[in-house]
Amino acid sequence: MTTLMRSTCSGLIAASLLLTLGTGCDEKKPEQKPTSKGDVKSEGTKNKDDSEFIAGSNADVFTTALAADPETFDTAKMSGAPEGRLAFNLFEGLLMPGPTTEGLKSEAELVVPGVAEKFELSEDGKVYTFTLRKDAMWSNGDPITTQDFVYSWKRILTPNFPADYAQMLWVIEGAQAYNEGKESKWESVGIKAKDDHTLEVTLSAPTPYFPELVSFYTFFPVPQKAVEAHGDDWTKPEHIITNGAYALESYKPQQEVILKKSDKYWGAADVKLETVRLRIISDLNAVVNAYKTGELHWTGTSLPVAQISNLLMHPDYVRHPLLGTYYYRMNVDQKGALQDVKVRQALAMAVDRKQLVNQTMKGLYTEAVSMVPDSMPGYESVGKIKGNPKKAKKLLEEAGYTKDNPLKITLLYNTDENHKLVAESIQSMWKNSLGVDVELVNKEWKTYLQDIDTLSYEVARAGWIGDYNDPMTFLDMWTTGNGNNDTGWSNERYDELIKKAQVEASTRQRRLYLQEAEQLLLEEGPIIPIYFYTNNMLASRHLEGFKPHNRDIHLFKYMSLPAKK
Amino acid sequence: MTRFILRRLVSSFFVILIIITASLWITRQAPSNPCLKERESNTCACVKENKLDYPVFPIYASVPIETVKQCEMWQRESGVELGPVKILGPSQWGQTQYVNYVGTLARGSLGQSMKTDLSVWETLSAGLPYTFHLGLQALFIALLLGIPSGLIAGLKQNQIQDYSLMTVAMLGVSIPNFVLGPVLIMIFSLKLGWFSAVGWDSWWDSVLPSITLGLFYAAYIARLTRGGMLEVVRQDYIRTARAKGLSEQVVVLRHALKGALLPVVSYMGPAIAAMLTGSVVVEEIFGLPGVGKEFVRSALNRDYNVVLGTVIMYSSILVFLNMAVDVIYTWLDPRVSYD
Repeated sequence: MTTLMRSTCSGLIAASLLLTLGTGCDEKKPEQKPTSKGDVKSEGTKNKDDSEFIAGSNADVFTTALAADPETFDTAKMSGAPEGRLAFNLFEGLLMPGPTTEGLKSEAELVVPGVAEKFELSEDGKVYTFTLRKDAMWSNGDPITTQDFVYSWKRILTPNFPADYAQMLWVIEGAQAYNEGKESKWESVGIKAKDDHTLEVTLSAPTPYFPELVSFYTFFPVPQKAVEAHGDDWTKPEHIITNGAYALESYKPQQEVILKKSDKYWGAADVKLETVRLRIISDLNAVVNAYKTGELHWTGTSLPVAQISNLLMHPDYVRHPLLGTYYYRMNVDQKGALQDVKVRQALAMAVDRKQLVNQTMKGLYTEAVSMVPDSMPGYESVGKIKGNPKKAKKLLEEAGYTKDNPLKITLLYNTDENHKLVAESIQSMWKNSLGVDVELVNKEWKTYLQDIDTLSYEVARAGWIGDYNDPMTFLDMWTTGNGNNDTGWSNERYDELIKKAQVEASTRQRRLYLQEAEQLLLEEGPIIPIYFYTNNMLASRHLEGFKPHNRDIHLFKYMSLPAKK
Repeated sequence: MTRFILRRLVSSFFVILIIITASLWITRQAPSNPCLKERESNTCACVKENKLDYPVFPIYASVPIETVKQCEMWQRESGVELGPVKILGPSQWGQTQYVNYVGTLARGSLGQSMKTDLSVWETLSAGLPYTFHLGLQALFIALLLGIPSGLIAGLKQNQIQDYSLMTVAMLGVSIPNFVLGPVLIMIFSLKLGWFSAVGWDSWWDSVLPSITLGLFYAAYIARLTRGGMLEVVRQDYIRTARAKGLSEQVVVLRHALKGALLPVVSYMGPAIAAMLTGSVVVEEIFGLPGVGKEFVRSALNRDYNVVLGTVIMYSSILVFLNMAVDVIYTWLDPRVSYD
């Protein structure tokens, strides 16, 4: 899910800038009347003011944009946002994400039945028994049985199978050992088909968010027949077999993906959009242009400050909270100033988040004073960071950095307009309130990743989008040696708290462990939270069933458009 | 002439081989690798099963081998034996990978993309028709606008026609396409609604991108034609033609134009290549499914196989076009002979 963080690659910043300037001037131009008409586009191109553009007026079917060409249609291998959009609509897991994450009374409402019509949880919170519905079918008419899930999950857990998210299955008993090749017997893994329609999954520890994991695409079934017959080519449009509300009609690389309602789907009667066209448009200015000319009903991706700031008053503009944190990480591994916890605290305290979010980021995002986003249901962060430049200065002085001996640090970010805005703003805050000299370094995406991975940085931008609605997804990454830690930070007490939370059966006690861990992380940890992500999009105001989802999961089967007059 | 073409073909082959060698080496010098992702994963997802070819790069095969954790394959010193297939470690790349890659090419394949499920050829061939279409239309616009205006400007030197045409040409040369494209979109798509702003669903959608791409070359060709014309009209053979009593039209179109176009023709090779390769920016602005985008994207992704595939394709086009220009030269200028 972290792929979301990375704004679309673009060597065309100059182009984007100019285009933004260009569209900004629209208002000043006098109305022009078309003297002739294009022969292809007819309806909806009538002379109209820019601010009154009608979403989708030039589209025959429901149309949205995909930010990049999908790397794969194989749910086991994928990890990006565009791929996920396709997976959730083409395939269906035992459970599925509900239409929204807003206004839920309990975490149980995050998921709705999918291929499984119900599930039962054992008293110790470890054994899930799923009952599959009898009318679930693949798009070729074959019934879906527990065997499909056993095959698909075993495939992902095969050692060295190229599945980015194989670790998500590690909550299942024996899965990690099998996946790492330490145990070769499949029987040792807690996945058992009781019969064709009863699947029993045993977890190694109580995992309250397991239902949400099961509704994620890594847990979706793949068609065994097609995979065995065609190998890697099973995802080609001519071979692919799906089990979701939609079937793959066609795919043109770099151009479009067309989904058609599947008549084999058990819930087909409630699916309203017959055809969905996903146009692959990587340039965000182009997405906005396409929206303005009525070629799209929904932009599909979040738009950054430069593209959206002059559309904030438009009735089609929507802002949804997103389960993600934009933060800076500090390298505590190198022998440098950042090893001193006082320096880290000073830097975190000296960030004026209100000014940054409201002025630099035009109020698009929300201030972050904790690692776990405040949109996380059923959890309240404790030990939030309090902005306090005076105290920060004092802490820095105690650490031995004064006017005569100023602190010098480098700040690394990957080349992008938004990241640059944030970095420059924080650079001046640290300079003004602490007298810290910050050198900004921007690197192209892959080089930036390598620097992070090899700990060749001092302070670096980072972003994290939660994989599920539980604080654990934001906290377990900071344990010693975790592959996503990338700061060299290690704290025994922290590791212990996380470990305790991972095996705790009582929800209340578990939450207390996590809160204490987060407090420790915010006080002594290697991070500076900056803002919580939001999804800033344009969507037709007539689109029904399109609701906020904090993990940006939107299923077309929930949506509908009023009939065209 | 046949001997000349054969000679050129042989030398072209070596030129392309040198380009491949250099590109293969340079791509490996870039920091990072295709597998590195923001999020740690326990296997290298980009290390895909590669049934198409001998594995030039580390691959995944369905038989479990020893655990490749956190992409450590890329840091390994030695390779891995996998049944009948040998996977090379990075330290062996320099010596053996080159041989393997060239071997793969010799079998008529460009290998597999390391990022997506498509082969390199599938990736390129999906975009090529659009890029070629766009390039040819831009070329058509460039010639249709460039040559006549250059001709008029050359014949009416230092008169109002010359000044006005050359001013426009100067603008055309100076305005970069990443300015022109958005301006055209703003006026013709957003304001007037004549064209769609993004994508390529029908021929109509290719009009704005072709103009954006072609205008610069039209302007440049106009200037070249004018320069050629000015030089040629002072030549003896034009005076002879006039002295014979030929009409001005015949003098200009049959005799002068042929000579005046020589610089244009020699510019055509690189220009066509640039129109095909230079469409990267235009493709991005107009959201076209062309192959130019792959060029940039693959480099950013460190998708080594696609990088090399695009480099080979573009360099072959360039080498071929330059050869074609030399052949056309002999026809336009009788003094030139290669035999």
